[in-house]
Amino acid sequence: MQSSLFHAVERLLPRVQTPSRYIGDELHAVKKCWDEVDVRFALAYPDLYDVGMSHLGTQVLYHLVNDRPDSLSERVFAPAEDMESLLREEDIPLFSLESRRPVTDFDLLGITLQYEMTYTNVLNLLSLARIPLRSEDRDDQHPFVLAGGPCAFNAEPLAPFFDLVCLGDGEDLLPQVIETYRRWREEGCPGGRDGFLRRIGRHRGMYIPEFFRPAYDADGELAGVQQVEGERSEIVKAVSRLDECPFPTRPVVPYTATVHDRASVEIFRGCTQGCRFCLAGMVYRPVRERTPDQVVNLCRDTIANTGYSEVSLASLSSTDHSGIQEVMQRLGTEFSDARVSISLPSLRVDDFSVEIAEAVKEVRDTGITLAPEAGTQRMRDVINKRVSEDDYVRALRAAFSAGCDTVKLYFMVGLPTETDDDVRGIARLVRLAHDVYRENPGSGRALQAHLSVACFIPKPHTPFQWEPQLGVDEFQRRIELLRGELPRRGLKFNWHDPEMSFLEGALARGDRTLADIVERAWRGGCRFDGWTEHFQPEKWYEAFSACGVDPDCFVTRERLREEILPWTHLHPGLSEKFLWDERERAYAGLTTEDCRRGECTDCGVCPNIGASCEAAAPLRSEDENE
Amino acid sequence: MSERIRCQLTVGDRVRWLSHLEFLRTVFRAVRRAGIPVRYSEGYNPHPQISFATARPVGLSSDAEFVDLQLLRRVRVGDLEEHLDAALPRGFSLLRAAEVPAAAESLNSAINAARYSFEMPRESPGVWRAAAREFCARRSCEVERQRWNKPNRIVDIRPHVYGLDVSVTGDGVRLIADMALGGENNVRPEELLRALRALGPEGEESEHPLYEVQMHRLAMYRREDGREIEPWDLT
Repeated sequence: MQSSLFHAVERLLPRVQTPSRYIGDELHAVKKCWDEVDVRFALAYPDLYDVGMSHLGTQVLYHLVNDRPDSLSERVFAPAEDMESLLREEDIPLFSLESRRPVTDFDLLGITLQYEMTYTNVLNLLSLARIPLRSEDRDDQHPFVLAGGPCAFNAEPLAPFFDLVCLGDGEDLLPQVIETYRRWREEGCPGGRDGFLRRIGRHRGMYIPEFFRPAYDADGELAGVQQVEGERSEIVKAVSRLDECPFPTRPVVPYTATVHDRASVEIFRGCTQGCRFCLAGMVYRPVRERTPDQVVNLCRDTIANTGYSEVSLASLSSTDHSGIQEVMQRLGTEFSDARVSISLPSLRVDDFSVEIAEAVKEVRDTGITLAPEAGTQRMRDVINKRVSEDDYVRALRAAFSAGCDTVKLYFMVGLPTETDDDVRGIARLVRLAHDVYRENPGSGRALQAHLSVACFIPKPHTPFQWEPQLGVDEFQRRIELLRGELPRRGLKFNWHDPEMSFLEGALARGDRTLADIVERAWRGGCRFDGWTEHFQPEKWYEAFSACGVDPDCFVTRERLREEILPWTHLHPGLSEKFLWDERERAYAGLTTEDCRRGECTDCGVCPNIGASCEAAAPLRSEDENE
Repeated sequence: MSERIRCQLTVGDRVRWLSHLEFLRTVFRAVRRAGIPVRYSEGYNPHPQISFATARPVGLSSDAEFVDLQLLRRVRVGDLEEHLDAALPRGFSLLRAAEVPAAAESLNSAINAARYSFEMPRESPGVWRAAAREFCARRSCEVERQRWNKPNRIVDIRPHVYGLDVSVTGDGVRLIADMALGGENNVRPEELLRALRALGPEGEESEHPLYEVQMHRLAMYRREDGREIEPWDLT
C-alpha cells in the first residue's frame, strides 16, 4: 500500500487553476482513520469537482458509507486539463481528496454515470488511477470498479470497463456491496475476483457485465444478450423506501462556487408524470416521498449545519409532492427572519401559482423557469407533457405580477412526428411571453427571455426507445428555421450542438461494440465531451470509422419492436407492453394521466419490483386542480 | 447605532489555496452558522455587512486576516469569539475579536502595510543576505507586474518595501519583509522574491522554483509617519 501523496499534490497546487478544488478538507468532509475500517470505498464523479459536488447523490452515498463503522469513503473527481498534465508529467497517480491516497489503495471504486458525455472521463479516471481499463485485465491488487446512476440502465457501451454495475437506489445497493465484499475478504477471498462477483451477483440489481455476452446474427444484428455465468438472466433494479433512507444534513460544503451553490434536500424520488421522452421519469419509478415533517426538519438542520442561504427542494417535479403547500408554508415560517430562500427546481407549468411565485424568492431574483418542451398542443400531447397554453399564460402572469422580469424557457426540437409548424410554435410561445409581460410590466424594465432548445435524443427504457433520432443536418435546419422566427430583441437563444447530441444518442442507445469506440476516442484525446470547448467530434467520427461501426445504426435508425435492444436484460421494472402502448398513444395524440391522480397505467413497476408509490398524502386529481 | 466588531483570523496551510472570494464565502457561512446577528444591507439584494482588508493572494497562509462585522445589536465579544471560532472550518481560526468605533475608517483604506515571512528550504543564506543588502542600498528596483486580462507593467517596488531581514533556519533561509499593502503602492510577495532573485548570482533562473517558497502573512498594520499602528488601535 502506498502512503499519502499529500506533499506531491501540494507541490502541484500553486500551478493549477482553482486549487481549492483539490484541497479536500472542506467543512463536513470526513477523514476516517485508514487502518480502523475494513472496507475503503473511493467515490468518483467523472467530471470536475465543481460539477460533481453539486450532485446530491454523491453527497448521499459519501455519508452513507462514512456513517458505517466498518467502512470509509473518500471522493475522487476528474482533474481539470492543467492538473491532468501535471499528474502525468510528474508521474503522480490519481488521488482521493481526503487522504490524498492513490485510488488503487482502495478496495472499491464507484463511478456514477449521470450523463453519457462523461464516458471518456470514466476511462481517463481509470487511466490516471493506473487501473487497467478493462475488467478482464484487473487482478487482486486492483479495486473492483462499480458503476451506478441513471445511465447504468444501458451500461453496455461501457460494459467491459466495469466489474459491477448497480441498478437502482444506491442507498439499498451500496451497503450490500460493502457487506458482501467484507465477508468475502474475511473468508480469505474464496474464488478470487470472480468469487466476489458471483456472490454479489446473487443480489437484486447487481449486473456483472462479464457474466453476459451479446450475440450477433449473420447480418451483424444483436440476437440476444446471453447470461454465461451467475444465476440471474435479467437484472431488475433495487429500490428503497425514501422515508427510511438517511439523508446527509451535514453535506460537504465546497469552498469554491459550484454549479449549484446551495443546500439541497431531496423531497421525493421518482416521477409518474409520464413524459414520454424522460429517462429519469421512467427509471426512478415508483414515486417515494419524504413526509412534510421530514422535509422541514432536513431543511432546518442542513441550513444550520452549512450556513447556506438557499435551500433547494430537489426532485424531478417538486410541486408534485403531495404536501408541497404545507412544506412551503412551514419553511416560510421557519426561515422568515434567517434570510434563507427556498428554490423549487423543475417547476411545472400547470402548477405554478401566485402563492408559489411569492414563496419562491428565486422567482424574483433570477426569474421564472418553465419547460413547456414543445411549441404546440399537438406536440405536447405526443410527448405527454400535459400543459395547455392557458397554463403557460397563467404561470407567466403569476410570475410577472410577483415582480419577475426574467423568463427562462426550455424546449426540444426533433420530437417524434414534429412538423415545421411545431417548431414555429416555439417561437410563438416566446412572443406570447413578451405579450403577456407587456400587459403587466411589473418592474418597468424590459422582459429578458432566455430560450434554451435541446435536440431530442431518444433514451432507453422510454416509450421513444425505438424512435429514430434526427440527423445532424436536419437538426441544424430546424434550429435555423426556429431562429428565423424568433423576436430579435429581448431574447437570448441558445441551443444544444446537434453533433454533440448525435454522439449522446449513440452512447445512450448503443451496445457493447461502442466500448472500443469510446476507448479509441479517449486515446485520441477526447475528454469532457459535454463541454463545448473540449468536444472534438472529428475524433469520434474517426473512432467510429476505424472500428468499422456506423453510428447511424444506433442513432438515426428506427428500431423494430421485435428487435433485441442492447439493454433488454437490464430492467427498471417497466413492462415492454406499457412502453409500446405509450408509443402508440403518442402517435395517436393521446395523453396518459399521472397514475397518482388517475388510474393505474400498468407501467409494471409496482408488481415487477414489489414496491408501490408512497405518497405522504393522497393527491388531488387533475380535475380538482382546476 | 450599530456595533462593529473586528476579528483577526488565521488561514492555515491546507486552506491557503482558497481565493479571496472563496475566503469571503467561507467567512459569511461561518458567521451564519455561528448565529451572529450580522446586519444586512438594505435593498433588493441584501448583503451581509462584513468587510475585509486587501485580498490575500492564493497560496499565502496567514496569521493576520482582518474582518469587520456590523452587528444588529451588541453581543458579548467573548461569546462571539467562542462561537465564530467553533463555526470556522478546519484550517481557520479566530485569534481575537474586539469592538471598534462605528465611525472608524474601513479596514481596506486604514491598513496599508503587512509583514510577511518566506521560508526557503535548501537555499543559501549568503546569497539572500547579499541580495537583501543590495536591494536596500538601491533607490529603485523594478519588476514586471503581471496583471489579469491586461498587459504586464513595469513597477518600482523599492520605495514600498520598508524592511528586510534574512535569517538562517534549520534547512535554509527565512526572509521577513515589511511592505506596502493595498492601494497603488501594494507590493505582491512574489514580486519581492523575483526582485531579490534577480539581484543574486543566479538571476531569476534558480533551481528552486518560486512556487516552492512557503509564504506567510505575519501581520497587517497601518504605517503612518514611520509608526506602526495595529488594527485594534485604529480609530
